[in-house]
Amino acid sequence: MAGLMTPNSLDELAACLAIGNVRVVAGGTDWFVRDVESFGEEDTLIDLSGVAELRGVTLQGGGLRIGAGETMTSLAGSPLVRTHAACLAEAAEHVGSWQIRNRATLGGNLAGGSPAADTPPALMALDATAEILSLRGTRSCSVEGIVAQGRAALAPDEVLVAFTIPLPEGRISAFGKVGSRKEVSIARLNLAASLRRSGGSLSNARVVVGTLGSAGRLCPGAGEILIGSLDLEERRRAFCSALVAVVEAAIPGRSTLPYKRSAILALGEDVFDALMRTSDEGRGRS
Amino acid sequence: MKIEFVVNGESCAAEVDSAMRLIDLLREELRLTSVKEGCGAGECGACTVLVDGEPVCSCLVPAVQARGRDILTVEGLAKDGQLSVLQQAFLDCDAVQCGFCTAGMILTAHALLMKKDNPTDEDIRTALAGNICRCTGYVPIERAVRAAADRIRAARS
Repeated sequence: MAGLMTPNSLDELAACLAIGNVRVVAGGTDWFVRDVESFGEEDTLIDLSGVAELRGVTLQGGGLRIGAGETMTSLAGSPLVRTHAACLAEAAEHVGSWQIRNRATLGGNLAGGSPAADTPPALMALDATAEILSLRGTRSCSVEGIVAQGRAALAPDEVLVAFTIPLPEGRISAFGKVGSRKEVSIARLNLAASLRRSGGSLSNARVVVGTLGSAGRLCPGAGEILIGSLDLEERRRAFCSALVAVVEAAIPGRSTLPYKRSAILALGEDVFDALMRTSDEGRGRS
Repeated sequence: MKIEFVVNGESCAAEVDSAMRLIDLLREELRLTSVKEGCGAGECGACTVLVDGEPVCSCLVPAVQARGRDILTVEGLAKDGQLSVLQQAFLDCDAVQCGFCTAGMILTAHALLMKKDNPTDEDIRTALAGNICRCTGYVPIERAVRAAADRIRAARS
């Protein structure tokens, strides 16, 4: 019969990992729907929900540290996340339903490997790094690196412990999502972007489109345009055109291409406008 | 594994294993059959219960995660044979037809009213977005939640 363990701390979790053939469950929103099928009689399920160190949102050493077990509800309602990682709060706020947001965790949203996940593009736009625990110790990996490797990025005995988001001065960010309905919607496309403003100038743009075959695709070209010298209207148009080019290159020949090519235009405008509203840049240049 | 928890104000203990969901624990072990299984995939909200005051889909929650938690089902709302204000409002506003979604709908609305005693229409709709009803068209349900909020505030003042 399959085993079941309930560690209450990272130390206890490490001891559980040592028994081998383990699977971990955090919020559980994917577990019974998808993952349980590959769970064998010889396997052991580790419930992460009691591990206190997986929770918490704190400012630490110039960065924002977010426990991987934080739920979408807690992220959306966290003043620290809203202030320092707005695009992440916005992404979390529109995941699934209230019931799902109360259980789904930040770590699970990334580890699940869904190309339509909402928080990985936001974490990528914020240049987040993940802290990963296993019997081999603790390692760090950029969220960008994890997304690039897909579900193979984490071994079965590896657990996401926390994410650290660097906090350069003056950074702003925004997130947008297009789905088939207003609420409880799985993204057809999502878009997260961040940049730094300093005085009148913008820099360090990171633009990430999700749901294009992978959970996040960095778009350096669109980022350059975002902080470039074109006037506001031209910049908005060029930004959206660059995103269309990203979509066309990512999913050539797919049946969803015509829809996504059109949808990214609207999504690009929304995110561009949200960023410019926040940055005061709009008033300065228009 | 034996776990201890509270359901509808009463301390409980139960044996759970890795395959057991919270809905199985509540329906099969504790016979709390107000908890309905609709889709079994977290889409419809019929199985909604409150864990520490927060609505969750009990079809998705591993039963072991009830460990040390406080769980509320519809059976815990009525006191001394008296329906809660929200339950009565559902009756008065004809917010129930086949009734399959009703328990989940009421619990989500109950959680909302515990957090906001004067929710906007948008608050009500957003809160209930994860509870699907195939009968009513939602308007009477929204009206019932609004009526309950008004009655609760009026009773307080």
